[in-house]
Amino acid sequence: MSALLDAVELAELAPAFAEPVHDAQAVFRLLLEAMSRPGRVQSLPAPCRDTLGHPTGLAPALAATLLTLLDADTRLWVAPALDTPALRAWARFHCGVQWVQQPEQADFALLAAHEAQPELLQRLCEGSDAAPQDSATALIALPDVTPGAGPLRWRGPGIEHEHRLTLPGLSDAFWAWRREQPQRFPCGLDFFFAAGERVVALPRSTRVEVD
Amino acid sequence: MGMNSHPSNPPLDPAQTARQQWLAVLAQAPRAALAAHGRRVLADYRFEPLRAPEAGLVMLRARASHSGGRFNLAEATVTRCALRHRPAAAAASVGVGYVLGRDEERAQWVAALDALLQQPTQQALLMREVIAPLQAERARLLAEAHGRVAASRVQFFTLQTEGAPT
Repeated sequence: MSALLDAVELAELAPAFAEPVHDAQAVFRLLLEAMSRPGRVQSLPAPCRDTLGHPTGLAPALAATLLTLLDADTRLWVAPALDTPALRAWARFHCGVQWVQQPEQADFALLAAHEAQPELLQRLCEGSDAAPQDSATALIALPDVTPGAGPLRWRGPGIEHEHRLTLPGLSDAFWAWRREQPQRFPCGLDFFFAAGERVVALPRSTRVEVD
Repeated sequence: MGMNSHPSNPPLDPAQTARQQWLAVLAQAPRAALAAHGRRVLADYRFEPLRAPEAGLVMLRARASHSGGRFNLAEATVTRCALRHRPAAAAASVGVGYVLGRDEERAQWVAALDALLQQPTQQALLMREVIAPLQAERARLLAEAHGRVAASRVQFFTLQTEGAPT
């Protein structure tokens, strides 16, 4: 992509947070809450949800996550299903993020549910034993996120007993691959799943069983 | 914040050069003059914020001489803003304002005037009514300052400019 946005792209660009400082703080708190309580579904707070601008085709929860976590020092890779000129222009203008061509280079990867396949996820950086914090974070767009029931049983730090969830759109291959991941601790990927205004986190320390 | 294009940048088309010039004039205009024009011209138009005014730092770089390497001189506070104007009968335009300092209103006036100046129907009028007077005023102030300094000028005939082509 060219370094400059042209005037036409800019003229049709979606806005971002209406209150950049307060909204980013509120969403950061929400993402922190989601990561520290895996499997609990979080919703965007009302003032931010109602005023947030986002590109067509990107869920508000994902847009808010990108705006909060990305800046000029982070590298974003977007899988083909979500990669549009409108998203590129928007992320570049509002986040100033570096766009990378290969998943291996990314700090954050944005994918659609059907793209979250083991072959692809294995290419993302899982960190090293010396620097596990260098791992990538995967942001996955789902058609829906439903708490309270379903075949997934989540256990681990931050969960008292277990959480049950329905995350439609993710393949069996994904969950089979994810079952093996805790063995790689402290390395591993962290996930945010988002649909509409809702987001749920799956950190590397959580174990997921499928009934 | 020089307006000269860097050799590695792609060549600019005339519309971009014209925009650079009016943005330079607006960014360097004194607050009072900008406020007078801004309030008079902008009252009739609506603008949608794409990036609300925000202050940040830019690194200023310098060279010790023509041949010296670049070094980081200091950071300067810059306020930037981006506004969109959607006229009823034409395509939308986005104006950007970057000004030194933390004066948010100035950045907004620059962005709003830049958005209007990109509208073909407004451009000629605004160039005549806003940009030309601001430019003339700046030229007058610069000439005055040069006049004051020129009185104490010393010519070093025996010294050659460092790094100048021989």
